[in-house]
Amino acid sequence: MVLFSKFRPLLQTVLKPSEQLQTIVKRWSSGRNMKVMITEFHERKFFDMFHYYFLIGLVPTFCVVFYANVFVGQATLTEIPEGYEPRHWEYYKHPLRRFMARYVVQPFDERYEISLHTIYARVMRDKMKALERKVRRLEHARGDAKGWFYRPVVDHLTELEQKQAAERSEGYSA
Amino acid sequence: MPEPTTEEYVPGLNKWSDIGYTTLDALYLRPVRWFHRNFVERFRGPAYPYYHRKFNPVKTIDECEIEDQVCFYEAEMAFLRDRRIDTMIVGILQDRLSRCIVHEGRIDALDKCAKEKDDLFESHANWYQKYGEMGTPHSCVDAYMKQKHHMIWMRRHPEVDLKGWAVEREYERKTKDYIKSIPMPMEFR
Repeated sequence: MVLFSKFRPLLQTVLKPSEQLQTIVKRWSSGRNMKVMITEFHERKFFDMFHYYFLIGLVPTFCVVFYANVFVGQATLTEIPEGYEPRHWEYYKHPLRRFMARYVVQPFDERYEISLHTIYARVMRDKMKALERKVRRLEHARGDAKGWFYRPVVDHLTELEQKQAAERSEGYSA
Repeated sequence: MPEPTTEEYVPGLNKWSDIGYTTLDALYLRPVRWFHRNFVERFRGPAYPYYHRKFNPVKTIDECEIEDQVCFYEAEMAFLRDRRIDTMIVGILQDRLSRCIVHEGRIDALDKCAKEKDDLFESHANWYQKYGEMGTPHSCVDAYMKQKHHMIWMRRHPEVDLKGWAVEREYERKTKDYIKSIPMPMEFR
């Protein structure tokens, strides 16, 4: 990166435009010539992209990694003390890995427990459905109960009429 | 880790080894040690612990109740964990053998690395007996069935050498005889 500015003079010496081209462009008087140069567009674009993407990304990343490795340091392996349940990030050695485990990534055990729960819930749902299917099948086969063939529908108007009839039979109060 | 660490470098045996070592020493080891002593040890924060993850013992596949999917899942995870551990163990033993061969030299290793070779051979045979040739993918049930059929077969054929020690010893003997049969001056052998 330091020696990028030396590339252009080298390029000019290697790919010098010919003398004939230089004399053709001689328009103004008193020996004023336009010097035909190789384009700088690609160089400028490359340097811009390099500086933008790599240095703005690399410099902070390098500083963070340097701080984590030099000033914080890696953890030391110890036995789990009696009666202590380590937090899930305390199973990792490198400080950046601990950071990711603590704030970014799903814990290792959580995935396992979630899988266990989903299996359990699935099994319970399947058992309940199987039981309902069995009951319906038996009732259809035996035909000795009116459980599943009569749907209990609440008739609010009839209930209201019955209530009002009871009130009428009791008598109105003055 | 229980693996052996390399010994310190002994200069004076080979000129080119010394030149290489002094170059690497001056380019990499000395600056790093200087930086570590003067900056890292001074400004590093307090030491903090990390722990080795422990897995609770769960029922294996043969102890699970019928249609207990949760138990099946836990047994399968335990089986996969144990398979990874056994694969790492085989890798560590292979690493030990290759380090022994590099340390002793290709010819002396035939005599001096016999223990590492036997350990690796045994571990290969055991791994294959436990996890091998079941098809991909396979489950803990397939492994359990393989174990059952293997035990029945062993009961029916008790005199068969399953791990192939006879073949291995024969191969070793042939190799040593061949190397002894090459006519060479005594100071090289």
